[in-house]
Formats: sequence, structure tokens, C-alpha cells
Amino acid sequence: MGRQLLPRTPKERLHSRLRISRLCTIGEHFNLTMKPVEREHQRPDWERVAASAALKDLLAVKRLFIVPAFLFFFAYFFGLLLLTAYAPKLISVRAAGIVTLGYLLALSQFVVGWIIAWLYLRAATRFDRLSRDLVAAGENKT
Amino acid sequence: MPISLAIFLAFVASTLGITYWASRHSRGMSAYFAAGRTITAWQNGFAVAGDFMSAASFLGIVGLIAVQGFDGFLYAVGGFVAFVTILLLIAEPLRNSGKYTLGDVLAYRLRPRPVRAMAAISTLATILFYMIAQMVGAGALVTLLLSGSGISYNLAVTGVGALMVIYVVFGGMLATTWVQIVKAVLLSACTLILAVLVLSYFHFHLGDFFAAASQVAYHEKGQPVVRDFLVPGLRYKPPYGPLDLISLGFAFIFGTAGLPHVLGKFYTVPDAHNRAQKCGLGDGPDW
Repeated sequence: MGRQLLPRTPKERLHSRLRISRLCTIGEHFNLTMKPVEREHQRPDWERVAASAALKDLLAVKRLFIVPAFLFFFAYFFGLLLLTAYAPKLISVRAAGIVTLGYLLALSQFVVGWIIAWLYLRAATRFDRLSRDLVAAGENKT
Repeated sequence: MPISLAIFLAFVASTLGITYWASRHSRGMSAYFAAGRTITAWQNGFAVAGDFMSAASFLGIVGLIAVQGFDGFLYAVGGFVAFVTILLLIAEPLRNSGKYTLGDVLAYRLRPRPVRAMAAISTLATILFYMIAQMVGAGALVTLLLSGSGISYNLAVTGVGALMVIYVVFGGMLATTWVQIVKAVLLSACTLILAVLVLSYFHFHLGDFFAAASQVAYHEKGQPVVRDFLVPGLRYKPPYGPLDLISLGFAFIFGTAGLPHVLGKFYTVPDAHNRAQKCGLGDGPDW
């Protein structure tokens, strides 16, 4: 049993990605014929979806947003920590009245974080639309 | 009856009330573990915020800033940035999996038995250390609140623990979510009130406020000292301070994304847009 639960082929991986129940995959493996009838009709052609350029586009689009966004924020936060750790004199400079550069940088983390959250919200809406289109396109082909 | 005791009892009563209501409304596995996936984005945003704003953040971070100035403030920042990791890397895959626990998600792709065992062990290890800190805080707080009523520290810890177990076991995710929502709203309101009160003390002049923070006079080892709370160095001193800070940063950025009680909340919403909104809201306060 254990072996079949491992998604090995791209098709199986896509199953997991696109939230098809595990039972469906196992059932197919044992060539069970008792699948729900409506699923026969609604089930997209996963192999076609997996091979499609549209899927690769979707994954690339996601990576293109998520990876830079995370790296940027990671660097922004760790920059503050490293400055605090190794350049305490620099961030003790009074940047605005009595307020130090360090405090301004620390407060700006909240602003930058919210901006990234807002950008993600917009991007996620687009990801969802793309994946819905993708599944719908797969369904039409069956 | 002193007012602190009255407020405490009112909160306990409302918690149990929510638990009773939730236990009557949740049927089946999805309802119990994921609140039937019916929690809206705003509700879950407050719930995740409530999960995160524990006694440790409400009292702990305030305390850290009060005695360690800028170095303490980095804790507040760390608690906030933790949510960016969760938002960008964790939240969507978890929800898309349509599962109930992290173990379920991992077992789907990997060999189930060892992965489940490892997920259980790491969850229990995380929760154990997290719980100890929380229970110590809760016990100390309750003892303080109910001082004079003869409730000992041990009794307070046991009582709070029993109450938690009751509301999780009988109410499931629906009750925990609503209890956290109530908690988040109360804590946010209290924080807001406190902030306004502090500012009003300085006649709403931010400059005066920061000027006061730049020269805080207190006693250290019996000697009067004046310290600048706007510059680093009160907590993270050489030689190990820098390493300590970097370790703290990693713990926040990657550790928070592994807190089981925070992750559990991401199975309760219907779709990706909701999840993102929730995460955005969860950003607000810290820890």
C-alpha cells in the first residue's frame, strides 16, 4: 500500500497539487470501476494539464512573485538585525529629531510588511483565476 | 467582589458559553478539526491574531521594551515579520491540501508512517515548550488578578490548563476560533486604550514621548542610571549579542511558521483569497 501512496509521476503530483482526493488516485491504480459517475465527467485530463504550457506558466508566475518577495523581505529584516548587531553606532544616529535610524528602520518593517501582504493579496487573486482557468480547460478536453 | 475577579469570571463564563454553543453546532470531522471550513477571512484574521497575541506578547513584549528599549522592540518586529513567511510560503499550500493537520499534508506526498510520527513528535515538542511558557505566564497573571482570594499559583496553572483542555476538546476548532476572536478583539482594544493613555500623558506629542524614552532614569544594582532606550545594546551586548540577534531572527522567520496552533487555523477557510486577507489582518499586532 505504501508505495502507491507516493505520488511518483507528474500526473500524481498534479493530483495532489490540485486537491483531488487520494482515494481517486488509489482507485485508479487498482483500476477500480466504482468511481462516482459525475467524477468521470468532471475530472479534468490531468496528463494534458500537467504537460500544458499553461501549468508551467502558472507555476512560473507564482515563483516570479513569491521568491523575490520573500527574499526581499528576508533581506530587509535581517539587514536591520545585522545592522543592530554589527553597526550599533550607525543605527544610533538621530535621523528624525530624537528618533534614531534604528527605530525608523524597525518601524518601517511594519509598513513594508503590509505592502507585501497587499501585493500578495493582488497576486493571489490572479493565481486563483489562472488555476481555475487551467482546470476548466482540462475539463473541456475530456 | 473586586472588579478584576468579575472580569475574569465573565471571560471564563463566555469561553465556556462559546464552547457549549460550538459543541452543539459542530458535527463530523471537518467541523471539529477545521470548523467546517466555514470561517470567513475577517473572523479567521482575528483568530490567528488572537492565537499569536498571547500573554507573552501582551505582557512580555511590553515588558521587554520597558526594560530593554530598542532591543526589546526587535521582538515586536520579529513577531510581525513572522507572518510574512506564513503568508508567502505556508498558508496557500496548507489550505489547498484540503487536510486537517500538517501530518496529513506531509503524509500525502511522502511515506505516511515515518512522516506522521515525525510530525507528531515535532508538534508535541513545540507545543510542550510553548505551553510551559504560556502556562507559567497565565498562572502568574491569574494569581495576580485574583490575589487576596487565596488562589495559589499551582491552583491557577491547573485551573487555566483544565479550562483550555475543556474548550478545545468539547468545542473543537469552532470554539477555539471564536474564543481567539474574542481574545484578539479584547487585547487589541486594551492595547489601543493603553497607547492612547500613554500618548495623552505626553499631551499627544510624539516628540516628547521619544524624548522621554531617550533618557530613562532608573536604578540598576542600587545605582541610579540614565539610559537611552532608542539605541541598541541594552540586551544584545558583545561578545554573543550579535549571534543572539541572528538566532532570534531565524527563530522568528522560520519558527513561527511551524507553530501548530497557528498552522491549524489555515485549514478553516474556504479559498485562497480569504486566506490571504486573513494573513494580512493577522499581521497587525505582534507575536
